[in-house]
Amino acid sequence: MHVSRVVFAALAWLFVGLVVLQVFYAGMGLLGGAGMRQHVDFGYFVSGVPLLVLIAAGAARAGQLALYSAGLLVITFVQTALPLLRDDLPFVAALHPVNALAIFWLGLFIARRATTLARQRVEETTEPVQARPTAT
Amino acid sequence: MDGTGAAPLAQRCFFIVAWLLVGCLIVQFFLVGLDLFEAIGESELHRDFAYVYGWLTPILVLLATVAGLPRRVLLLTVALLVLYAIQTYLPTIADTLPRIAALHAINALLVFWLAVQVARSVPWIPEPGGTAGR
Repeated sequence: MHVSRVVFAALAWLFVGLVVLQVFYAGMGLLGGAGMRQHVDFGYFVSGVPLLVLIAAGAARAGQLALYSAGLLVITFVQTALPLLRDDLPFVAALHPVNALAIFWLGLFIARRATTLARQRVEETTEPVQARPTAT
Repeated sequence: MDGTGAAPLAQRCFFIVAWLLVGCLIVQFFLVGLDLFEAIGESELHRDFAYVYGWLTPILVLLATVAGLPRRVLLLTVALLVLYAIQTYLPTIADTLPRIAALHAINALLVFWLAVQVARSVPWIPEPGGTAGR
């Protein structure tokens, strides 16, 4: 259980890091003269990571955090779909950056909570080990 | 108005302005989308709106000083002002230093995160004998 919670926290932080990198690629596309291809391709890769976060949350029995992870998966999926609406529903497509903000915020929230959860397990598992020498 | 009356009022103004800034930043993110996806044709709403609400950050520093908010909050508010100034500067170097200018998007995340931290750091009602004046 402890290992799965550490993995959950690690994956959540990995996702936050990838989101930051993805935002940088957006900046490179818009102001860096690199074009948006890298941002688009990397976006499809990043969008798969919340599924791993959700699976890890389930394995870690993270309770409510698993629900938040499911929400993260949904809004990340929506994120990849939004630019496709630019011709038919441009005002909806325009929510792409706002949704990116929501993804970043929710990812950060999950990562911080998952870290707290993993630390709690560390304290619980190390306490009996520390107590053993005095008991024997 | 004496000092004891000005500080709580300034703190309440700080609270309002800080959350107003957070709201403006969310709108600003939406305006990026409008410009990017050309929802209303070619426009520079994103750039123009930045200059509309940009003055909120120096006002926050002023209000934090008048309200006598804790040093940590004051430093966060000054950091927000600095980051915001950097944010408006970054696109201007897109031609000469494109990789640095590309940090505009990441810095936007930082500005938003910091703005929320600043807004959450001060309660609407000043705590009795609390933050103000420290």
